Parts: sequence; C-alpha cells; structure tokens
Amino acid sequence: MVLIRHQLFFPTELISLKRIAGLDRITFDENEGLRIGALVTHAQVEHSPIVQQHCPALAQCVHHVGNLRVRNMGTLVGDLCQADNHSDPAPLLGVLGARVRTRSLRGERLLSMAEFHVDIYETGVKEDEIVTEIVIPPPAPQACTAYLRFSGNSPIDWPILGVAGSLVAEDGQCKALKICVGSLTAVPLGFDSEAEELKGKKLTPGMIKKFARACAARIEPIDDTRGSEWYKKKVAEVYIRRTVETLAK
Amino acid sequence: MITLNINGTTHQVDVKPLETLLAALRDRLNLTGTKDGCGEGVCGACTVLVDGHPVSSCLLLAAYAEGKTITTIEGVSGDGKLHPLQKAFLDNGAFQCGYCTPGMILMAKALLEQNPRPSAADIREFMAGNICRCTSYVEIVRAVKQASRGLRNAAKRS
Repeated sequence: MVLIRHQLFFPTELISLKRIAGLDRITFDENEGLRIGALVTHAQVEHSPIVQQHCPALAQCVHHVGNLRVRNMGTLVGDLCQADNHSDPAPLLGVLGARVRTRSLRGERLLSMAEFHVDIYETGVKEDEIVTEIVIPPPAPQACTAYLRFSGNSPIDWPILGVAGSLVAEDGQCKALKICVGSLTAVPLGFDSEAEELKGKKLTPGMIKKFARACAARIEPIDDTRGSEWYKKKVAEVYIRRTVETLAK
Repeated sequence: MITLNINGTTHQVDVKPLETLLAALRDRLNLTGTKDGCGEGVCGACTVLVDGHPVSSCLLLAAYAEGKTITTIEGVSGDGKLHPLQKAFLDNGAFQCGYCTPGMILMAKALLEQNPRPSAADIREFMAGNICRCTSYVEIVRAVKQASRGLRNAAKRS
C-alpha cells in the first residue's frame, strides 16, 4: 500500500487473499517449526502465545515495526514482500533460518532468505506465485537469539540499522554464531565466514570486539538521510559488538 | 459498490478498486473529521477504529473495510454530548490547530477500552504513533488521564 501511495507501484489487477482459508494461522510442530500465514498481522505475531513460546525474539522484534496502527493492519509476510531494506524482521528471520513458502499452479517452493531477498523492493517470488507462509525451523537447543535496533529520529522511525544474532555456546565456548545486519545494504547481510573464525573459541571481550570490527569492515552501507557511509559503519561495529555481548551473557 | 458500516449506519458506496478508506470517508461520505496527513501511516491524523482496533485509513483500501465496524471521530459523541475524551481535551487545552485531535481521540479511545487505568508511560507508549506538531504532549497525556478517571467514575455510578 505504501508503494502504491508513493506511486512506485501501479497494479493493474488487484486480487485479495482475504478469503483463502488457512492463511491467517500461526502453528508450531516439532518437524517444521513455526509457520506464520500470509494474512497474520504484526500485532497477531507480537501477541501470539505460540510465537512467544517458540520464538520470543520475533514477538519482541515485530513490536518495533512502524506504530500500533501499522502493526494492526500490516502483515509479516507483507513486510517481507515489500522488500524495503529497512525491515526490522528481515535480518532476524535470516539468523533464524526462516524460509518463505510460495505457491502457484506449478506447485510449491520454499525459498531461503538469501533466495528471497534480491534487491530493494525486489524478491525472488515469481509473477505467478503468492507467498503463503513463513516457516521458521525449531531453534537448536540452548540457542540464544537477540535483535538490537538503532533509530536516530524517534523509536517509531525506520531503523538506521538492525542487528540480529543467534548463538549456541557451551561452557562459554562458541559452537555456532549467526549475525545478520539489516537496513544498511540493499538486502540483509550475513557474516558466516567471520563467525566461523569464532567457532570453538571462548567469547572474550577482545574477541567480540575484533569480530565486530571485521564484520563492519566488510559492510558498504548505503549513504542516505539516515547517515553517511562512514557513520553507519561506526554504528554497525558498535551494534554488532553489543549484539554478541548480549548473546554471550 | 461496497457496503460500509460507519458509526452504526450502513452506507452503500461506489469506490474505485485502489481507493483508500480515508478517501471514501472524506470525499464520498463527507465525513471530513478524519484528516489526511502524511499519507503513509506515520502521523496518525487519519486514525479510525476498525472492529475496535486503531488503523491508518490512508493505508487501508475501502474495499477491505467491507463487513467491518468502522468508528470515526463523528461517531464518538452521543446524544448531543461530548465524549469524556473530547471534553478532557477541551478542559486541558490539549490541542492548538486541532488537525491531529481526531486521531488522538480515537487512539486514546482504543487505549481506554483495553486499559481503563493507563499510566502516563502507558499512554505515551500506546500513542507514540500519533504526532502533534503544535501543542504539547503533556496536555494530551493529562487529558487522557482525566478522561480515564471520568470513565471509571461513570462506570462505578452505573
């Protein structure tokens, strides 16, 4: 709707999904995990006992989307499909290993977040497909997840950046770390190669600082009204460090 | 042609497929109390209640609101009397130009229906998406608190 209002999108045909049964459901099962239908609003995700139990970080994250009115109307799937690079949930869904289920007359597809995010306002969904749901696999036992965001103007503004992280640690040693940064680049950016370096090591403050610096060095942020490239790189380093510190606590 | 239930009255409205509820209210039904502000769901001037939930009518297709119960600022007062929120906004000088006021009142109405005894922090959190650019938020918070007291006292008496 925002794209239509901004005259960036001119639909010639508009088909409502409202009456398709099952698209308004949130379910969880041990095999596939959490499934959030295309018609589920942000407010429903935020207040869903199922989401709060199985993916509390997502319930907390969607609270930051727009304002209450937007969360009452907008859907999580719609947020992703709009593919604005300032999406709050996008980087979090990245570290959660979420996939997007599409459907067409040709059948179903499950797209990873890397396959889904193509560019700003551009996704991997084909013209004859609709997105039916987001599927978030069950988290690894002992996995901690966090999402930290920074917005310069007011808390209800789009974020300057959002950092999502997921950590599995044992006896203070990093077993698996995932970090994904949203808003700075056209699509959310992951740091798997940098995180691989930390595998099996103790997460000391020095180690975390070095990791955050290495990640920030690879980011080439879009220079815009929310900050210059230089500024955003500095903020990214701080927020990546804080996210890993939060996870390691 | 769609059917809209607005403030308890049923209206048959001829709308275009991409027409917003805001445009239908203002331009087709002459319900101009709902204001057109930013046009992108940020400012809250166009707030209406749909099935009791606050939404931005500038981002909602009119067709989507069919079959739902819509409340606009014109439907807040009853029997020729101001709603306690409207009276509290007047008593506290909680507006200057008044452009944001219909949205503020409807947002506050939704809040008080969910939480009859909100703290100042609750009010600020709930109404964070409604922007006023000429008076002060202090008076608005004060007005909502006064209305919440008034509504609670009225509920006790009845």
